[in-house]
Amino acid sequence: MENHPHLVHIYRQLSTTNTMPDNLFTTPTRRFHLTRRGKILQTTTERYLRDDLGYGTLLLPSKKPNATIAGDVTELVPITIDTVDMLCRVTNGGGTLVVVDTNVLLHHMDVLEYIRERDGDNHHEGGDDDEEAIHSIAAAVVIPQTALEECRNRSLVMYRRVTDLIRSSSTGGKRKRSFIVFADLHHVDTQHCGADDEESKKEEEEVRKINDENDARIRKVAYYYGKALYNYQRGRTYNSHSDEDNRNIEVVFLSDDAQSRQLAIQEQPQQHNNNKKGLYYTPRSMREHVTLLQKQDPTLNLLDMVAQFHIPPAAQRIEYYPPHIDSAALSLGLKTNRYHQGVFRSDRDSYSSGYVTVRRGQERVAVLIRGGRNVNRAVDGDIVAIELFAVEEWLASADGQQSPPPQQQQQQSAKATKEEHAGIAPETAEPTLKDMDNINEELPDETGTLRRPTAKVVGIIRRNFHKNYCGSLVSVDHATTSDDAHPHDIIAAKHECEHADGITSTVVFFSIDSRIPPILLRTTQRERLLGMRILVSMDSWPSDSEWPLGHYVKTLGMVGTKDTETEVLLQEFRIPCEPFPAKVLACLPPPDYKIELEPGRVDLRHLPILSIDPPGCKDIDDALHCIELDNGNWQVGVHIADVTHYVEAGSAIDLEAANRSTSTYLVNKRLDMLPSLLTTDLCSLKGNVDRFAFSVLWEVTPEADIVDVEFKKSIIHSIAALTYQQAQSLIDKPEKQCQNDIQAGAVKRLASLARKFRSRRIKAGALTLASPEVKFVLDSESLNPTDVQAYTLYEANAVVEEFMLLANVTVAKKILRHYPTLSILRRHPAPNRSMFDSLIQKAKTRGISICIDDSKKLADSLDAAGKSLASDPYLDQLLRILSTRCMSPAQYFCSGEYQAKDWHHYGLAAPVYTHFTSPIRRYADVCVHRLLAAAIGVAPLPVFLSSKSYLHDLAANMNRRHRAAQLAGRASVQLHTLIFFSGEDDGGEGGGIKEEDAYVLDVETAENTEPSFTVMVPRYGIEGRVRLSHLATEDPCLVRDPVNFRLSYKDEKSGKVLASVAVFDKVRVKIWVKSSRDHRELVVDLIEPVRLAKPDVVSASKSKTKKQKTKK
Amino acid sequence: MTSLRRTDILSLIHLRSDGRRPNEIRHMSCHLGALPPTTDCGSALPTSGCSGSALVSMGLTQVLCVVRGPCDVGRRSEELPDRATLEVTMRTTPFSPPGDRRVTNPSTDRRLIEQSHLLQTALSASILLHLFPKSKISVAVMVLADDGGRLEASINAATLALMDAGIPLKDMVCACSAGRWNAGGSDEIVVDLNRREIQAATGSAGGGGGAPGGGGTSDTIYLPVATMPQRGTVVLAQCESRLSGGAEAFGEVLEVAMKGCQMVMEIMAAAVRERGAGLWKAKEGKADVILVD
Repeated sequence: MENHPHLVHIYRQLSTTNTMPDNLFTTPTRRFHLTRRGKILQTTTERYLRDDLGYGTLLLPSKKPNATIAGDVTELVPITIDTVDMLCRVTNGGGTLVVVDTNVLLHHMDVLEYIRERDGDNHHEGGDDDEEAIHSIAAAVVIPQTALEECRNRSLVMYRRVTDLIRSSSTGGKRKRSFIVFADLHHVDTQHCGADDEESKKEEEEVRKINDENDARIRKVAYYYGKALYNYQRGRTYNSHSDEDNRNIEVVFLSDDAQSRQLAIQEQPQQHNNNKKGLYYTPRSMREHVTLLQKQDPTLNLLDMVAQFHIPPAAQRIEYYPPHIDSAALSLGLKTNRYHQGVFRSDRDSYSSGYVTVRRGQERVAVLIRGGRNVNRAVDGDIVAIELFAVEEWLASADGQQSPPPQQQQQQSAKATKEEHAGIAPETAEPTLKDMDNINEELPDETGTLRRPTAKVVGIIRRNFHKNYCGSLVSVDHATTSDDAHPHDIIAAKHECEHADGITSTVVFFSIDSRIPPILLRTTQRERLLGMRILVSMDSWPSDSEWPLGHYVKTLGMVGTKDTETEVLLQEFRIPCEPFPAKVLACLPPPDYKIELEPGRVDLRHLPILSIDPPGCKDIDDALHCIELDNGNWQVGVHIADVTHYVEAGSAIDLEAANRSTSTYLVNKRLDMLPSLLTTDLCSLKGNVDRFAFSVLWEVTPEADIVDVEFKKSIIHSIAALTYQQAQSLIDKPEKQCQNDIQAGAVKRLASLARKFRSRRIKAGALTLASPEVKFVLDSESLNPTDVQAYTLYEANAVVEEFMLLANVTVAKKILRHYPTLSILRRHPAPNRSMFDSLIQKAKTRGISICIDDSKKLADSLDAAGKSLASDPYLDQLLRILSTRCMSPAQYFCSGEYQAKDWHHYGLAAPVYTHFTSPIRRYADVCVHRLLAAAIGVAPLPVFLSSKSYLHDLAANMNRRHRAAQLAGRASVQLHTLIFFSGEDDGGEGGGIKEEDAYVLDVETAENTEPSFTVMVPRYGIEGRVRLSHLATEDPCLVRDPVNFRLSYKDEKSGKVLASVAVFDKVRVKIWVKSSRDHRELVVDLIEPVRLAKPDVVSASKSKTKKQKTKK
Repeated sequence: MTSLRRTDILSLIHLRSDGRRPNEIRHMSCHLGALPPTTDCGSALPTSGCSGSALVSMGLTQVLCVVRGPCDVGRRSEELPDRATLEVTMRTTPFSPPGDRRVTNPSTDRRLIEQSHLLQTALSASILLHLFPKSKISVAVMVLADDGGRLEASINAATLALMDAGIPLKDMVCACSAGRWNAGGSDEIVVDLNRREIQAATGSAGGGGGAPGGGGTSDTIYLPVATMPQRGTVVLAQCESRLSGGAEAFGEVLEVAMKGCQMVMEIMAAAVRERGAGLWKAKEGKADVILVD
């Protein structure tokens, strides 16, 4: 603690007078809270006023780097701007100083964040010092504390962005604008003595009063700055009498609240002197301000980023949606149970329908919202208030879907086209909220029949507008708006227009995410944005606008190029992809770091340890060994890279890894959780180098009974890094040839143990599941896919997997014994019967019964099915794939949060399970390493790992990131599949069109729908809907059999079945890419059975095969 | 992970929620002789037998302390042959702790008992008890308002009341707290915590010491400290949080708290001098007043 003269000043005064100077101490503010029990509590807080806050505070990096555990980090130090002189220096002596209102922080962050990058093309010749070129919104931005706190209360997301901006603006290279935080609540001169005497009783008046008061405070800040600068500048001109330094700083009060701006003008005393406007500061709306800037410098493209709140007045005003109920009526309605509150979740493929989960006593019910008018401008993720429809209007149970009301048909058709996208088959079921939280979907009405409740949205409690959406504009050719145009074109054509100001025009943006409605943008650069992937943010959705209004944020790149689309999917799934910050890299060991034996570690370098991985694997995190002991037993070791040795708990690198939580594997790219020095070098257990490891050592009998287990931090020396194929060849080597081969002996022993462990596991009920994964063969230079291969699974894969499972289970038990409530475990919930229902029914058509009572019965019934379906081995695998898809994925959790019976891992039939074996690419494993290290007493448990709330957040984050990484990986495969099938280098005509065998997964048997069915193509792992669009929906020859999931086509006269397609049938399909201007999609068409297929497709394929035959 | 950080103790520009800087204590005022001294020991009034009193407010925490004695020990069994018995009681008023619904009974309430013990330990380090064998000095503390740090305020008030009563002390016992948050890698050490900050540190509504093990985000320390600043002796330091940073981190916090005590001492000394000057003036310059310095 250094001197703080200000403080002493107060107390010197105190000691003489024994009273605080009035202006340094305010009376306490009292607030009243209603407790849950209905008592009224008064809380009193004090607020000190200071006279040493000057003109706000800047955050600047301190001169001396602060040496902390996390390495050298330049800490930000708040610097107070004491004098107007200094303030002028901060703004570089000219330009504008902007005081922002809360609504600017909430809605215009993109504008505030904007700095023009230095690119040669659209830059002035003058270079950096050119005053005419405008780089950002203002020279200095003053953020009053009132606005900051209001922003924090309203939206934490925005608050974080503001604070990040304030921090980063001072560090990033050449500063072009400064952010000044002004603590107006504690500043003597801006102390607001609001109208405390008026006591308004009504709640809404109270709220308005608080808002008004905050606005008044912010205006006072603007006034304070304006007055100070005005007086200063006037004083300067009087003294100097020269015009050389005549650049005045203009103070602008930015607010989108027209009323506040009006008051700003009224409140200011009029100046009657030579000042141009006679005002200390100018109030402006964001749009006005940016338009002014844009006029000064037409190359600035800031106007696109300004949020929109009103659509430009049209000739006739159409109310597309019923108005939202205001907040007072809403809270009353919620209290009286007239309305219900919940988060609106769009259906996966449509923005005009979705559901809201509502609590009803103990149970929770998912309420359906169907149709654009009922959804009433709610967007996925909004917290909404809904009003239930009368019971008569509820939907009859699942089957009887009503035909949509006519007004929705356009949207429905938009939805329909989206559904048909063929794509990569999912591995597991969506981890639905319904499944996890046990939400009912149906309620009985008076007669006892189950109905699905429906409702409409009456108001929006909190918007989820803080996300950026990825997508592109649709280019409209006004001339060719024909009837069969894509629905996007119709919407775009309807809404595109030029604006009266001559520079902006409205364009329509379509997100990739089909849960998001089209967004209307107002832009100055329409031509430049066409055909680009852009990021867009939503601003508002007034009732007289058919679609929400938004603003442009960023351009990602050309549509369809692989790099852009990869970036798009990273954005879409929020995968952290920025390079590691310097703070994190500072935690890495120095370049001359050497791995040497250190105290506390066991030296295992003499053991013949080897690793088995896929070819080309860089991040090897596990290695194995198996030797014979003197007593005839075998010692088996699993050695895991000791990541926690390099990643200290609580350091910057640890926090970064915790945030990333997992490495993400895309087809052409790997996004690491840890910097590559650790990932591919220091932690990777490569062959023939010393590495630190965390070892689990078992003593087992050759009959695979475990005698003893030990956990050790060790140093190892791997003798070989094998691929699965190499390992397999060692397993297959005849016994005689490997008498003296250490590697072969070890691998053989491991394999024999693994077989025994495996059979024991299967006996206990572990499931053998399958996934439709495939692998791309990429071109070495362009990284374009040249071929698709199925994964080859060797026995060696199973050996490694078996020992990893064993290590995970062993470690899970160990940490659970020591930390029964703090262990990070992994659970796999038992599947929900309703999810399996349709599969069970489908299987029945083939005479297969599936029992899902527990994993053992499921495994047995799947095995039995496999035997009965021996004619086609793939059907067995298909069944397993489909059952996997009926289960929700496994999840990380903290053992203290669930009861012991819920720790069960269904798929592995293990009572406890965790992840221990891949700390390089999963953060859960890092935590488990720390827990295990603490359990065996080699290192203390980091404090935050003993906080249950922290563990909860950690597990939630890991689950979210894990899911996102999976989805991103699949999207990447999807992207490459598209590239593969649209490839031109295939030789045959029509690019990469392929014909393949496929299996029918599901058949649409509902009446009055377009006949269609879903197929899976095993060769490419893709799934797609085959539409028989050439058949009329009411075709009398078409027979739908919902019991047997069968579509058959009868002869018109004889009634003989000519062709039929039923579930699990093998059909032949053609896969090709249909590309339009803006997007490409994968299409699957039927070839066989011929009578159901489209005639033109069949003829085309016939001609093709003929040609090929003639060629041969 | 930023999402794990719940409460900001210091704002972006290093101001606390009430506008103080990390190293500033709350506004403190002391009033010696708040109650008139009486010689009558028999009446049932709370002020009966009052030989010295002090009213201390630290921020919004306000504490009244009354000292009685040295006087007869009521019960023989409590009598000590070589020194005086020090009896300390702490009470709260029904309106004092915001949020506490009930009047806590000083003889059963755990926190009050604990704190009165702490108060007794702290004071007996300074009072020259051996000068008054077989007698009793009783210190009664009434917490009038509680905005965090009532133990510290009570210690300060008790010291002043003892001085007002003219009981010989080795040194003034001054108390102040310090706290530390290890948030996002940057250390935040603040002095003289108010209720809100204590809640953030201990995770409890603590009217003083928080419930041990009662949640609380890890890596936080709330440390009330009492010292005899002129001797540099720590007479009380109570920490219920788990120490992660080891002795070094604890030492830093203790040092800050001791500096806080020094500031408290300056204010208290000033108040004592003022009181002395007042008394002196009352005596019209006939007697010399000895000031503690």
